[in-house]
Amino acid sequence: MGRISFATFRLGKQKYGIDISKVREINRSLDLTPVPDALNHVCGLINLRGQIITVFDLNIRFGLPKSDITEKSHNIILKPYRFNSSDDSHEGGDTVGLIVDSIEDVAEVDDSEIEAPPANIGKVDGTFLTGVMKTDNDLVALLNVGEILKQE
Amino acid sequence: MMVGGIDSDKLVNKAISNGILSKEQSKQMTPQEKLDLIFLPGLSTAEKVSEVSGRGVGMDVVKTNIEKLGGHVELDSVLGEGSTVLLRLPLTLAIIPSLIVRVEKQRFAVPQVNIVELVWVRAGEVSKRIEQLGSIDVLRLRGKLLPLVRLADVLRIKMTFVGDETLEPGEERRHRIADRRGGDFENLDQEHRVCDKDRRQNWQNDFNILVLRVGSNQFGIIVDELFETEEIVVKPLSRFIKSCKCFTGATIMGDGQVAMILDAAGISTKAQLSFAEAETENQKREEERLVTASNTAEIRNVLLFENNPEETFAFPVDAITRLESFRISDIKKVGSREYFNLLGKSTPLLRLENQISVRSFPEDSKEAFLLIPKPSYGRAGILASNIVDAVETNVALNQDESESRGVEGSAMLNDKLTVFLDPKELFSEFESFEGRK
Repeated sequence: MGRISFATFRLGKQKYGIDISKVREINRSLDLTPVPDALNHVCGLINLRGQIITVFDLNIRFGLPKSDITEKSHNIILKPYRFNSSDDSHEGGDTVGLIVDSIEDVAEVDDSEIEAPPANIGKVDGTFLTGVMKTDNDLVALLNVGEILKQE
Repeated sequence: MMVGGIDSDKLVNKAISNGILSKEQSKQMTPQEKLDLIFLPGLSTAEKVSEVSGRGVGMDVVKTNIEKLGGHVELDSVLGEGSTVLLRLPLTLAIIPSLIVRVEKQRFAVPQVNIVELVWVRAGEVSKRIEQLGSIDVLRLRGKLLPLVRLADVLRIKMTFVGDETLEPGEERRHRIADRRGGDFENLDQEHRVCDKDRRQNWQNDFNILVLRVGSNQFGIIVDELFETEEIVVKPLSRFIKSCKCFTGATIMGDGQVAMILDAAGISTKAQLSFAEAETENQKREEERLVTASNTAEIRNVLLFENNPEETFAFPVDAITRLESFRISDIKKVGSREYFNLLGKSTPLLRLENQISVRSFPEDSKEAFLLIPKPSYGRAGILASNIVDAVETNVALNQDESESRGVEGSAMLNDKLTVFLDPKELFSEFESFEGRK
């Protein structure tokens, strides 16, 4: 029962949202050092003020063709995420950045307005999503950060 | 009854019954690989399980924690005798001196502790020094064979090369290391290389090889370029890239870019290097060498170089500290003496033609090498126009009373008359000669 803010962005034409409380910052640090032989969706490492951060290509993670880095591309740096932690502190987890095609704005919704995700949106598997919400003229798919960071 | 050593067959059976290993896999395993099964989690050969033993945790924990610190564990065991567990830990955990290398567009840091030496194989010598032994490529290094891989192959970095005519990068088409491109590099003469325009292209075909050490094994990796050694701060890898066994960590370079730190052990595993083949071959050659060596008294480890291209000289390797390549224009003259600025110290230059009766250094050379002797021999650097090779030989020298002082004798090496220098005599002669000036 409350309002949640989502940072919204696009991959191709589809609009997505990510719970803003899970985001540390959004920047344009895209000077990636590729990691040979890493998982496909790990597109490299960046140096963020002395911290080395693993960057995912969200498109590849979703099984879509690789993102092209353009002047609109942004890097969404997530707060350190830890699995199976009972407390909310994010100490000790790994910090991950997500490359997205472009950044939109912040949308605020009441959690009752969020609908369950369909099995898939376009070609994206529904397990990567926690739900969808409607804005005036768009459908925004909301990311399931835990699933995205999960390792097979 | 207590019996020392690890029964590797027992380990294999246990692994098979636990479903970790299939029977087929076990047949292909080397004894060492069988022994290394002990590091797998959940494997124990203890028949009785108590609070502390038989849980299959012990060696797994040792390995994980040692590797977390950047070290590695080696196990050697003889059934009925005992086991040796070798733990290797890095000296400092946070800052390690590393050599920075380049492959294609990426830089990597290689910890100095893993590096045995750097070897530079010129394009023209590639087919002579790199051979194929079964499925592996090997480098002939001072009579020993060293398994060799391209780092780009191991890391699956797409290789490009600059086309000879187009100067456009294209995809690499050669598959074997010893394969050469169309050009006739074998007959490329030295003068050709000195010419600035051609040089870069030809140098691209030279091999920079890092000889790395993993435990008691050594192997070579080919990289595109070598940079400096730097002290780097090791940053741990996130769990998303932990699966890449070739890296131990990452570091931030001076320019802010991230570079991966290579793990020698991981690379050798990834490349599936088989040391056994090279080792057997080495042993075979070693035996042959000993047989021939027993016939003659002395084995010499010498560096072959030229002063005048017509004449080859041999200088004992153990009397040399380093080789320096430099431009002739950098030679400073004081009166009739010549000096070269080496790391801030002026080093006298020894021209062989001034000491012994040999042909003089070619006038038109722009570049040359300097053989820097160990300080106990002398402090002058010997001028050389070309470094030929380092070889081990047991030839008998022809000694002649009439030889000038500084020459030990001469012999035929690879169908070339080679003059063997006597460093002690040569330098003492040089110093008294310089003193007279």
